[in-house]
Amino acid sequence: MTYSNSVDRVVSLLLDAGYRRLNSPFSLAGLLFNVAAVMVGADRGSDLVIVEDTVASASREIQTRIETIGRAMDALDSKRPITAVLIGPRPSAAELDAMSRVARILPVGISSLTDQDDVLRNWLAVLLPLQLPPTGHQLADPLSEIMNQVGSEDPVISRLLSSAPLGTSSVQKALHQIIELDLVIPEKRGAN
Amino acid sequence: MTPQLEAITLTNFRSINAPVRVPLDAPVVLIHGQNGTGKTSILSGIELALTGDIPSLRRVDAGYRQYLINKDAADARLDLIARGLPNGRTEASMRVTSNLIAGAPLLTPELAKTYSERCYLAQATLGKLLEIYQGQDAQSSTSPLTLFVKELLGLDVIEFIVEGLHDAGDVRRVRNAVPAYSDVESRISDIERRLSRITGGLKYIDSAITAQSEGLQSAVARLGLSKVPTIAADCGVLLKELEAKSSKNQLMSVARTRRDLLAAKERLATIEANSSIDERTRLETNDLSAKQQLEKWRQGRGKVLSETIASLLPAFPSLPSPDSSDPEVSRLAALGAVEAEIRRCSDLLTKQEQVTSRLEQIGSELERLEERARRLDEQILAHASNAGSLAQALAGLLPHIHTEECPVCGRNYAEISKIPLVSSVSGKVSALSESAGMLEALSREKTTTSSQLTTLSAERDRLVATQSTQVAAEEANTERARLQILKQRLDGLADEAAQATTLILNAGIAARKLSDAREANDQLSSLIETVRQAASQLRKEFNFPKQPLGIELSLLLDFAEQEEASLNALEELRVTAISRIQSLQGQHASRDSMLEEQADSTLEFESLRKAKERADGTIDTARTLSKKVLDIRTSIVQRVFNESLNRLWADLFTRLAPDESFVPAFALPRRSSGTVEAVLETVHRRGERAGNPQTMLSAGNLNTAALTLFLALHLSLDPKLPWLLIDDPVQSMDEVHISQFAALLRTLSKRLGRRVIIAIHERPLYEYLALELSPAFAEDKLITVELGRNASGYTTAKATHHIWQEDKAISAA
Repeated sequence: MTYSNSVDRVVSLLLDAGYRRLNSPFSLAGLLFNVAAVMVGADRGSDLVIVEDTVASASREIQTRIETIGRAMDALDSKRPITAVLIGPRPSAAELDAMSRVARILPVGISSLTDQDDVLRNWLAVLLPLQLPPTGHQLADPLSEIMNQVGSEDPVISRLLSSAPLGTSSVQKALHQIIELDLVIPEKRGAN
Repeated sequence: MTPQLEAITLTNFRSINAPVRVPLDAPVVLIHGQNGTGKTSILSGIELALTGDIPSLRRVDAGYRQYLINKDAADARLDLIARGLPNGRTEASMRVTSNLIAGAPLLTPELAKTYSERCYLAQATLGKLLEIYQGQDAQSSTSPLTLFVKELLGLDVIEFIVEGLHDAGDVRRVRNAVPAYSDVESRISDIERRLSRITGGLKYIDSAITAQSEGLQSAVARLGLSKVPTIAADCGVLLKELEAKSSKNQLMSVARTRRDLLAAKERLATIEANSSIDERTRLETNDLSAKQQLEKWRQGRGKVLSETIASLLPAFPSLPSPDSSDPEVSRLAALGAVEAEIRRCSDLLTKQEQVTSRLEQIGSELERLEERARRLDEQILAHASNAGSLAQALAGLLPHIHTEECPVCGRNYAEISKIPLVSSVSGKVSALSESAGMLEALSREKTTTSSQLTTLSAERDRLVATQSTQVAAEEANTERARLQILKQRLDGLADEAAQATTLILNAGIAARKLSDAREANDQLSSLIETVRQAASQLRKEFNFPKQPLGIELSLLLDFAEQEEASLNALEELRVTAISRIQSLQGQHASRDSMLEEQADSTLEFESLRKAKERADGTIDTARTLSKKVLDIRTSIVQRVFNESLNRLWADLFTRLAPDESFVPAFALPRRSSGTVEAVLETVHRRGERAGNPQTMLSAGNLNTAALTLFLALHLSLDPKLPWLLIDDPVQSMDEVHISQFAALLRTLSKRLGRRVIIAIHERPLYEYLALELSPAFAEDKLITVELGRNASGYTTAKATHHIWQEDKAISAA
C-alpha cells in the first residue's frame, strides 16, 4: 500500500493498531485545534496522538499548539497521555524540549528516505501493540521435531530417541546395548 | 486466577525503621522516595518473602544477611500477602534475626528462581545485566544466558542425544565402550590371518603334491607298477605293491658271487706264476743240483773243517758241528772259543809276573819300616813318662806362690837363686809340658808305623798265597802255543766256510720253490670249481677250458658287477618311491585337514562379518541421527532466535531507542556441531552484523539493551508469574528514552496484563509516570506510594489509590 504522504502513512499504521481517528480540527475545552491528524487509542489504550507536519505548519506554531493542547487536557483533568508525531524536518532542540514537557514527542523525520516505512514503524513502535512469541512452556519441542523429521520407523532410531528424555547416559546405554545385541553371533549349527 | 501480590508489611527491615504497610494490589504500583527512604528495601523485602533469599544483594555482597535488620532494632519482620499462587499459599511471615531467617517463603523453589531471574530487576543488577547474562568468568557455553536459552528451547534433550551418541562418532570410542565390538574385530582379523595362512599352506602343499606325484610317476613307470594315486586312500595300495617288489635277496646273492669272483681273480694271479710244467721241471733240476753241490763240499773242504772242529771238542764240548749246522757259524764259534782260551793263558802269565815284582817291593818296604820303629822306641824312652802330670801339679801351685817363700818347704828361695820363685816354677812347668808334647807326638808316629807294617805283611801273605807254581805257568805257556796253531788253521778255512753257507742256502730255496709249485697246482683245481659255481649262480655258460680261466673270470666278474649295479639302482628307485609315496600320503592328509579348517574358518568369518556389519550399521545410523539432530538443533535455534527472541528484543529495543542504527541481538550459531552458545551481537538496521553490544552502543543505549533483554526474556516465558518489579530503571536514560519507556510500561501493563511495580526516586519522573500509567479503563488501578520520614525519623509510607475516571476531554466512544 502506498500513501501520498507521510501523514497518511502514520494514520494508516495507527488505524491498523486499533486507534481511532478524530476529525481535525477538533475542539478541546472550547478551543479548536487544526492539526494534520488526531487519533485516540481504543479499548485499554487511552493515548491521544497528535500528528503534525513541520512542512505544513511552522514548528513554532506546532509547539504552541501542542503546549495548548497539553494545558487544555490538564484543565479538563484528563489522564490521557499525549503523543505528538512530528513529520518532516526536525524542530530545534529548544522547541522539542518545550513540547516534551507536555507530551511524548516522536520526531519521525523527513519523508524522502527510502526506508521511510521502517523508520516510521520504529518511531511509532511504542504506540503499537507488542507481538509476543507463542508462549508455551517452551518455545520449541525438539524431540517431536526430530521424530517428525527423522521418522521413527527404524527400530534403532526409535529406541535411541525414546531413551533421550532420560538423559545422556540413558541414550549411551541404549546405543551400547543395541551394538552388543548386533554383535551376538548365532550358535554354530551342530556345535554340540 | 492470575497470581497477585496484595500487600507487604515491613518492620525494621534494612532502612525501614518502623512498621510500614505497602499495598500492592493494583496493576501498577509506583513507589517514590528520596534516596535512603526504603524503596530498595521494599523490593528486597518482597523478594525475600517470596524466595527466602535476595540474590540481587548476594551478587553485590555475599554477607548481605547481616545487614537485613535495621541498625536500631534487634530483629526484622516481613509479612507478605498474595493470592492466586499455584501452590495455594497466601501469606508469608519472615522473621530475620541476627543469625537466621525464619519462615517459609511463598514461592516454590522453581518459581522462586523464575522470580529472581525473570521478574525482578534490581537497581544494582541492571548496570551489570549483560555481564551477568554472558557470564564474566564462565565459558559462554555455560553462561546464565546460554543455560536459559537451552532451557527455553528444550535443547537438553538434543544434547542428551548428541552426547549419548558421541561414542558412535569414533570407532575407537565404540571399542572402549563395547568390548564385544573390539572382540569381534580382533576375531575377524584373527580369522582373516588364519584364512590367508591356510590359503598359502594349500597352495604350497598342492605344488608339493604335484612335484611328488611327478617324481613318483616316473619311478612307478620304471618299476612297472600301476598309476600314481590322486587321493590318500589309493596310496596304501601302491605302497603294498612296492613293498612286495623288493629285490634285496637277489642283490645279496649277486653281491656274494661277485665277491667270490673277485677273490678268485686275486688267487688266480698268484697261482698262475707257479702253475707252468716247464717251470716245475726247472725247479726240480735246480733243487737237485743244489743238493749235489752241497754234498760235494761236505766230502772235500768241509771235511777239513769238520776235523778241525772235532779236535777242539774235548776242550770245548759245546761247539756246534759243521755238518749239522751252518759251516761258517760253526767255524766262527770254534774260532771264538780258541781266541778266548788264548787270551786266558796270556792273562794268567802276565798276572804271575806282576805278583813276583810286587813281593820284591813289599820286602824292601818292610825293612825300612822296622828300622824306623826301632828308632822311635829309643826316643820315647828318652822322655820321662810322667813329665806331664808333674807339670800339671806344679801349675796348680803357681797361684799359691806370692813371695819367695816356698809353699812346700817354707824356705826362702832367694837364698839359693836370684831368679824369683814364681819365674823358676813357671820355667819348670814349661819345660815339663814341652817334654810331654814330644812324647805324645812320638807315640802317634809309632802307631802309624806299626799299622803300615801290619798292612804290608798282610798283602805279602795274600800275594804269596796266590802265586802259582812255575809248573802251572809253563803249562799255560804250552797250551797257548797249541791254540795259536789251531787259530791259524781256522782262519784259513774262512772262504770255504762262506761258500758252504751259500750252497746250503741255495739248496733250501730251490727245495721251497719246488714245494710251492706243487701246492699251486692243487689250488687251481679248487679255483676252477669256484668259478664254475659262480657262472651257474649268474646263469652264465662256463667256457673253461675253451677259453682261458682268467678271461672267463673277468667276463663273469664284469657281468656280476653290472647285474649288481642294475639291481642296486632298481632297489634305490623302489626305496625312493616308497618314501615318496609315504610323504605323498602325509601331504594328502594335511591337505584334507587344511580344507576342513578352511571351511570352518570361512563359516565363522561369515557370521562374524555379518555381526560386525549389523553393529556398523547401527553405528552409522547413530552417527547419522546425531548429525541430523544437530541440524535440527541448528534450525530450531535459528528459527527461535530469529522469529522469537531476536524479533521480540528488537521490537522492545526499538520502542525505547527508535533512532539507534545498531540493534542488539542473539548471534546465530554459525556451525551446527558443538554446543549451543548464546552470544550477543548487534545488527545494523540494514542487516549487517556488528560487534558485541558493549562495544557498539552508547552507555545509555547499552542500558536500554540490557533492560529490553530482561523484558524480552521475561516475555518469552509462560507467564506463570506475570510480575515485573523494576528498581529505578531510568537512572541513565534521557527524556526521550523515559517517555518511550513510560509508553512501553503502559503497553506491558494495560495490554499484556503484567503487574508492574516500579521504584522511582526522581520526583518529576515519578509524576510523569504516574500520569502515563494512570488507569485507562474501568477496573484499572494505580497505586502510588510515597516514602518519607516523620519528625522523629521514622519511616512513613503514604499510599494513594488511583482509580479510573472517564475522560471528559475526549470521549472514548
